[in-house]
Amino acid sequence: MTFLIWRLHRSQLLIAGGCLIALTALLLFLPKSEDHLIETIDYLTIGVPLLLGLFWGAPLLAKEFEEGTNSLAWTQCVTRRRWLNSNLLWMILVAAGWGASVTAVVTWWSLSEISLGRSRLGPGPFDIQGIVPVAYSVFAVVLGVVVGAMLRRVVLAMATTLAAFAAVRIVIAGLIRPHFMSPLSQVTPIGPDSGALPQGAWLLSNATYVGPNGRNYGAFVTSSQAPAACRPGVSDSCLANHGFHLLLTYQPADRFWAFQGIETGLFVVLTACVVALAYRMVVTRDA
Amino acid sequence: MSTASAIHTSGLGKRYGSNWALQDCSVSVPPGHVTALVGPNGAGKTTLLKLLVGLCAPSSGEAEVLGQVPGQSEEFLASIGYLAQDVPLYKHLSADDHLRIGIHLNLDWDSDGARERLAALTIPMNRPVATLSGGQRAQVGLSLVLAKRPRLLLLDEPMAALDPLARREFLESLAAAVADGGLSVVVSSHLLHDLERVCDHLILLSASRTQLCGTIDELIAGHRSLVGPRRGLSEIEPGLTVIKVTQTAKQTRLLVRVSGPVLDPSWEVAEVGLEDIVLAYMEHGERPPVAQLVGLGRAQ
Repeated sequence: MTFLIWRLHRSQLLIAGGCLIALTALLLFLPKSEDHLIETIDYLTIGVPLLLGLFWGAPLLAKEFEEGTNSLAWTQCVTRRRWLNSNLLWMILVAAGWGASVTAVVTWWSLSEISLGRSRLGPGPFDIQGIVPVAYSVFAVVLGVVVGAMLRRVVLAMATTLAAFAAVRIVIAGLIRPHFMSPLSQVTPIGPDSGALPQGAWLLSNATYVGPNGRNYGAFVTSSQAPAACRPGVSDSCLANHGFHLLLTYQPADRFWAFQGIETGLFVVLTACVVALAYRMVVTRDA
Repeated sequence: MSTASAIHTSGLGKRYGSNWALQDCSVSVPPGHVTALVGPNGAGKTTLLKLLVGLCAPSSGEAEVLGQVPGQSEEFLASIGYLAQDVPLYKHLSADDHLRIGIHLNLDWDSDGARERLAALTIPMNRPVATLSGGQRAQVGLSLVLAKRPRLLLLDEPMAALDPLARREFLESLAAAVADGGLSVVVSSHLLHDLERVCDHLILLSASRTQLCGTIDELIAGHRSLVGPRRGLSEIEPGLTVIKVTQTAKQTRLLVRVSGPVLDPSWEVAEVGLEDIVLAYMEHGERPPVAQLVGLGRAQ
C-alpha cells in the first residue's frame, strides 16, 4: 500500500516540501518590520491546513470515484479497510508533519514581533502557534477525505471542504474559544489609563461601565441612568468622580497552553468523528 | 452443490432509490465456461458484475461466487479479477508502474507473464497510460487482471471503445488466457456479435431481469423459427412458448422455445441463430409478454 500511496501522491509531497523550503528561504531574507508581509504570512499560515485539505484530502477518494480507479484499487487483494488505514495513516502523518514544520518556521521567525505587540491568545497569533496548527492540518485533510467520499466529485468536494473547514474554524475561534475557561474581569478607574490589562491578555469585549452600586450599565451610560449631577451631557470625568468604574473581561496570557490544549482536543475529537464517517463511507457504502 | 458453480445467484436484486437496477436475478454458471453477459444498455449488466465482485451489496437475494459470498475478504479478492467499464487505470502512471503496484497489492502476482504479454503486443511500458490508444489500454487492463491469477475473471464491456482490429486482438488475448485453463470468464457487452466466437455460455439481461441463462448449444437447440399461414395465437399448439410474433397479411412468423419436436405440420420449422434469439428476448423483455399476446389476440 505504501508504494501505491507514494507513487500516486509523490508530486503533491514534493510540492509541499518545496513550498516549505521556499517559505523558510523567504523568511530568512525578510526584514521583520514589514507589517504587510507579516500579515500576509499570518494568513498564509492559517491557510496551510486548508491547502492540505483541498489539494490532498478532498481529491483522495473523489478522484478515484471520478476516474473509476476505485474499482481497480478495491478489487486487488487488499481490503477496503486496509486501503483506507494506509491512506489515512500516511495522510495524517504528512499533514501533521507539514503543519508543524510551517508553524515552527513561522513561530521562530515572528516570535519577537508577537511577544512585543499582540496578545499570543488573540485571534491570529493563537492560530499559528503552538500545537493547534497541527490539529487544524490533520482535521482538514481528514475532512477533505470524507467530503470527497460523500460527493465523489473533485471540484465539488474541494469547494465543500473549503466551506466546511472555514465554518468549523470560525465557529470555534469566534464563538467557543472565548468560553474555554471563564474569563477574568478587572475593574479600572475611568481615565486616560483605562483599559490597561495584564501583559499579553486577550480582551474579550469592550469595557463596560459599573456604577458605585455595582450595577453594570453596559458600554454607555445614558443621561437618564447617570447621577443627576452629571446631566445633561454625561462625561467620563464626571462619572469617575461619582464612583463609576470600567469593567474589562479578558483571558490572561498564562492560559495560552491551556487554551491550546483545549482547542487541540476539540479538533482531535472532531477528527475522530470524521474518520469514523470515512470508514463508513468506504467500507459499507457501495462503490 | 452450489460450491461447484463459478457463479450462483438466487433472487439477486439491487435497488437505487426506487429504481431496481437488477431484479430477481437467478443464474448459475458452472466453472470453466466463458459466459457472455448481454443485454441492452441499462439492463443491469454492470450492476450484476459489481454485485458479483463485492463492490456493491445486494438489496435482495444472494450471490455466491466460487463458493464464497462476494465481500471484502482477502481470500475472496484474490480469487477474482475485475476489469470495470472503460478500463479505469491511473492515467499518469505507466503500465510498468501499474505492474509494480500490483506486486504490492496482491499475494500472488504474475509480473513476468504480464510483461511478456505486453511486450508481445509491443505496448510501451514506460509511457503514462493516458497516452496509449484505447486498444493498448484495454490490453494493459487485461494483463493486470490476468496477473492476479484469478479463478474467475469478470470483464465489463472491455471492448466498447475499441476499433474492430483492437477488438479482435483483445478477444484473441482473452481466448489464449482461457486456453491456459482453470479460468472462468464473464464478459459483458451490448453486442453479442463480438462474443459469439469465444463464449460457450450466455446470460441475457433485459429491463433489469434475467431473460436467458444457459449454454449456447442448449439455447440454439431449444429455439425454432416457425413460418406458416396466418393464424391467431390461440390456435398454436401447447408446448411452444412464443417469444416473438410477426404477423403479415398471409403469414404468421414465430420465434418459439421448444421442449420437443414441433407437431403441427403446417409450420415450416427452421433453426435460429443466436443473435436472432437474443434480439427476440430483448424485445420480449421490453414489453411484458402477456400484454403482447393479449394485444395481438384482440387484433385477430
